[in-house]
Amino acid sequence: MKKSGLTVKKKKLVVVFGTILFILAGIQFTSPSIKNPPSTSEIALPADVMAILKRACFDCHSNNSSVEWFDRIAPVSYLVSHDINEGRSRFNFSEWERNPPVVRELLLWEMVNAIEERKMPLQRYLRMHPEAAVSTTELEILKRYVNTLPGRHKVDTMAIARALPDSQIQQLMKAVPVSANGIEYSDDYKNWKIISTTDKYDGGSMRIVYGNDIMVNAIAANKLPFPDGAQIVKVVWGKHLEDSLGNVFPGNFQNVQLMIKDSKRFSSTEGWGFAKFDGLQLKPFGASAIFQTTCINCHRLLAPENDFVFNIPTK
Amino acid sequence: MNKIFSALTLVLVMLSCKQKAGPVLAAEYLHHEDGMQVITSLINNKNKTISIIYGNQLAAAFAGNVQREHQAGEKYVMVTSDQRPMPHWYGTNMNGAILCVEYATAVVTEEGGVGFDYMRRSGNGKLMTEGVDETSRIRFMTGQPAAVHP
Ligand code: HEC
Ligand code: HEC
Repeated sequence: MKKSGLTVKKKKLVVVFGTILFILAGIQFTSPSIKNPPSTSEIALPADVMAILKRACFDCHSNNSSVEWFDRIAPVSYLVSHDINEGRSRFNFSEWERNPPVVRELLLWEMVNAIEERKMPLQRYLRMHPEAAVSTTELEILKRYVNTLPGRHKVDTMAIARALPDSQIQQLMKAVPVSANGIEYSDDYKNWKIISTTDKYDGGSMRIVYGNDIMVNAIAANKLPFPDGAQIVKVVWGKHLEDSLGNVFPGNFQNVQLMIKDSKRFSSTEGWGFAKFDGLQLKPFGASAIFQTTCINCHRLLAPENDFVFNIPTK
Repeated sequence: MNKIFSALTLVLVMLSCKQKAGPVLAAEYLHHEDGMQVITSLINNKNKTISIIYGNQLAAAFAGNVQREHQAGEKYVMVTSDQRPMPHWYGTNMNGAILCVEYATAVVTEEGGVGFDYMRRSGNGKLMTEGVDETSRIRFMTGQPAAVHP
């Protein structure tokens, strides 16, 4: 009785394994192939920096993906090709000049942060490719490099523009600037409380960040995620040359950026609506609402445990 | 074998739900004075500090160059905080603990001119009188042009 029970079990096992093998073999025919298109404008970097990024990042962020045999086997190949397509779409070292110069610099700082926060290379990739890990010494090399980029020591030497010509002001009064996602500019923030002041030395600017009452109360109550209705406004200026006592004051006004929490309306961007208004004209940034994706991609990668907000006072 | 194992742990990790501890917020780093607006902010990398200068309406009018002479009733508040690296972003420094709050209020002097009362408190509200050059502090915090707010 016992003996024949075992054989039945064994038979069942054989059938189960057989089926799995059959399916695995079958899906190999649907396995996505990973192609390496030609490189049009590869990034130029000092040799030591290049070596690190080539080893750790090029598999997913360039047109030089070296794919191992085990990466080509389905279902792993699905994951690998997804990561490569997604990685290349975010930025591509082989098509670097597609990014405007300011974006190139910001991306390099973002890379340093992605590594420091252990978000990149992706953990699931590191498990299969431990040789791609970036060591602390290598991260220091990358940090030293980004500190040599022009934005690092940018000083605003232009005379400060305080107001627009009357004709332009009148036009501004007529039409409130509206972002492509429907968010309207308002200067209510001037009556809000300040939640942070910053020296953004990576790009040569300084900022004051305001929060409305809902935001400030949530900070006081130590409450995360921030509730619907919370709003944050960041005002950005260039930096003047340091005086003999070491003081740096704001130069020209650059832009206002804001984040509004409305979990239904902005469900595709983690509940936050983003907007940016440039220059004294407060020109809405972004031709279509798609611009929000760039905003949330960076906030999502680096500040998920802060409800995607960087500028909050923390112990 | 190793790779197969990795593939399996990978599946396990993807199925499990990662729980990260959230930040502990520090509302004590914020300072607020009713009825005051921002005049400007400043960074000092020698002292590793970052400050905000606030003013009431009269002070803002002076800083905005609407009013050319100081007048009685102007009130200035300057909050100076420690600079600290911003969590999650190497490339920005932000305000940390409040080091001191300075107050300057314009009053009519006995001679009929305009002078300033000055006071400095620490982050936890204690009066700080030692080693303050009041005259130069007053000149500094009441003499800055307003940052452009559109
Ligand atoms: C296994 C593929 C893979 C590797 C290797 C990899 N990345 Fe990524 N990277 C991705 C994917 C996929 C995304 C999209 C975000 C996500 O899925 O988390 C991404 C996003 C990013 C972003 C965010 C860009 C944005 O949209 O704001 C940065 C920065 C980044 N990677 C830097 C790096 C750096 C630096 C390295 C090397 C140290 C690296 N990545 C290695 C796959 C990879
Ligand atoms: C490359 C990464 C990156 C991108 C892209 C990005 N941000 Fe941010 N954002 C940051 C960092 C870092 C901070 C904190 C430092 C600072 O204050 O500048 C920040 C801060 C902010 C803040 C203040 C609240 C907070 O989270 O600290 C607002 C508002 C904001 N960003 C709006 C935007 C908008 C709008 C866009 C898109 C147009 C955008 N951001 C794109 C990295 C990014």
